[in-house]
Amino acid sequence: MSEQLRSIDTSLKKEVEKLSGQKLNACYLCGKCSAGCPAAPYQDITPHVVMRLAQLGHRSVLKSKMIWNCVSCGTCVTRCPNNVDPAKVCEALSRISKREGLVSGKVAKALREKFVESIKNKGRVHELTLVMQLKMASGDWFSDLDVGIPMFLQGKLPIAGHRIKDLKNFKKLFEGNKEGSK
Amino acid sequence: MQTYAYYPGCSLEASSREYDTSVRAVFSKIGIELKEVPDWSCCGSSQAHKIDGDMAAAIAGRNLVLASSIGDIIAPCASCSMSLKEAQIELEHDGPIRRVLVEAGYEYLPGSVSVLSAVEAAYQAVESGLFEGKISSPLLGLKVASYYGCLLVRPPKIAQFDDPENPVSMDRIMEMAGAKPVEWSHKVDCCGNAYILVDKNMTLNLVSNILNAAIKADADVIAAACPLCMQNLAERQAQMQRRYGLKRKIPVVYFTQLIGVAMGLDNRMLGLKDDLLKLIDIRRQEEIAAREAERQAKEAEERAKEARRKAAAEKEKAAKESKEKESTEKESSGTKEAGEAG
Repeated sequence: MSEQLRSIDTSLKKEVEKLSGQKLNACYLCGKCSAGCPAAPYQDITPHVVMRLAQLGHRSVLKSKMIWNCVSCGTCVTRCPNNVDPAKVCEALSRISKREGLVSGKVAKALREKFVESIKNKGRVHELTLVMQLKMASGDWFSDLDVGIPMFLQGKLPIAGHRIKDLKNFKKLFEGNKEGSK
Repeated sequence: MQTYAYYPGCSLEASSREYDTSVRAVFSKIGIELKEVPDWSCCGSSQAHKIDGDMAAAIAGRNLVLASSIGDIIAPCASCSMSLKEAQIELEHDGPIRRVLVEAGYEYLPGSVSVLSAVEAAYQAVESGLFEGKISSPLLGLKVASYYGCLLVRPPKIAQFDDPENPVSMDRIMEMAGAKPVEWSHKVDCCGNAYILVDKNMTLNLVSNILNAAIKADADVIAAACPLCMQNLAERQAQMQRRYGLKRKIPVVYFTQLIGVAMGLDNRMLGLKDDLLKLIDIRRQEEIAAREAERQAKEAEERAKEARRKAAAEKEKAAKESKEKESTEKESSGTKEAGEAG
């Protein structure tokens, strides 16, 4: 069996459909999503190529940068003539990619994980902590100091974050997906 | 007085305070009371959704439950309003998310609450005439590029507001405030949101395209309605000038800050920079001068027209008189001739 055939996984398509709630075969690859995608020019493959690889159950899609760096702008789903949401497909693929350790978007992964961690800790996002954590993940400490320092001095990046009162019950909302997540 | 539940969101507490204070000031001035949702938590934004859609809907849904005792929600941040709207649609039908909420002590009642972005709420207020008589110092002559970004209008099935490709609500609001909204190409183009921290090259390219489009349309200022858009559009212009082909700097402010100026609100509530306030004044003076010049030109034209009409009438009168004279002369000479012949 060739390397290419070995990378075909028929269960992948089913899992993506279940996680994303999208019917992959509804996509006829017109490319309208790719034409309007603001992120695509800066990634490895475009959204309709992601769709095609997912339709084929091609595991190489799990290593793509595109599935991590979708900016959730909603342009693709707004313009899709067949009512498919490629952003949701990217989302689903990125979750599988994380599970299988095939992540290409290290910083994007850190962004969503640290963001949710921040909410879980206090109930609200603490911008300063989040920025610091992402700076650590990307190793890019200095390029935004001209923005960060003035904001800090204006009191727009307070050191202490707000903690909600009902944090105990709030945390239950994170454990709740016993019936499988969407 | 109308009362709404107010959901500020995490950014309005910190990096975008002036959005918070200007929204509160503007709405209170038009008689809309904003009551903060008690003990609100983060909406989850698009990031929580990427980890787990149901969890994201549950944490956003908690805020809907807390708000329902007050009334419909106004959420100024575009990302918050989108997350809350999405959760609201999910929670309308009975499913696991509602059960998760109930287990945590939050019961969602279907149809109990709906969600509006600040642009939506302001637009409704314009439509129902709440701003009438409130615009004490209109933003005459100020050319505003209304920037909607993504989530105010997209995806249309969830946003259910305005047109997803060419929205006009914010332009109408700016017109109401006396400004001149410009036609431009990048109203709904994405700014890259939090990906500024992930892929800087991509984000700054996207943003400098947006800013250059507004500059090309000859805008004086960009009006925004989202803290993330604001961060990307306003704060990194020096970097973009150096490396991403940004032509010049252009001020970016929240649309409520501009409405506030038009309503004559104290700048301590609005937080606008002196440079922009000066520019607003200059444009207003220019516009007033231009209107005055136009009025005078029109008057002068009217006067010239009147003079021409008078001259023409006199000429006609003179011509008529001379004709009459001629004909009487002819007549009299005719009688004379006839008399002579007789």
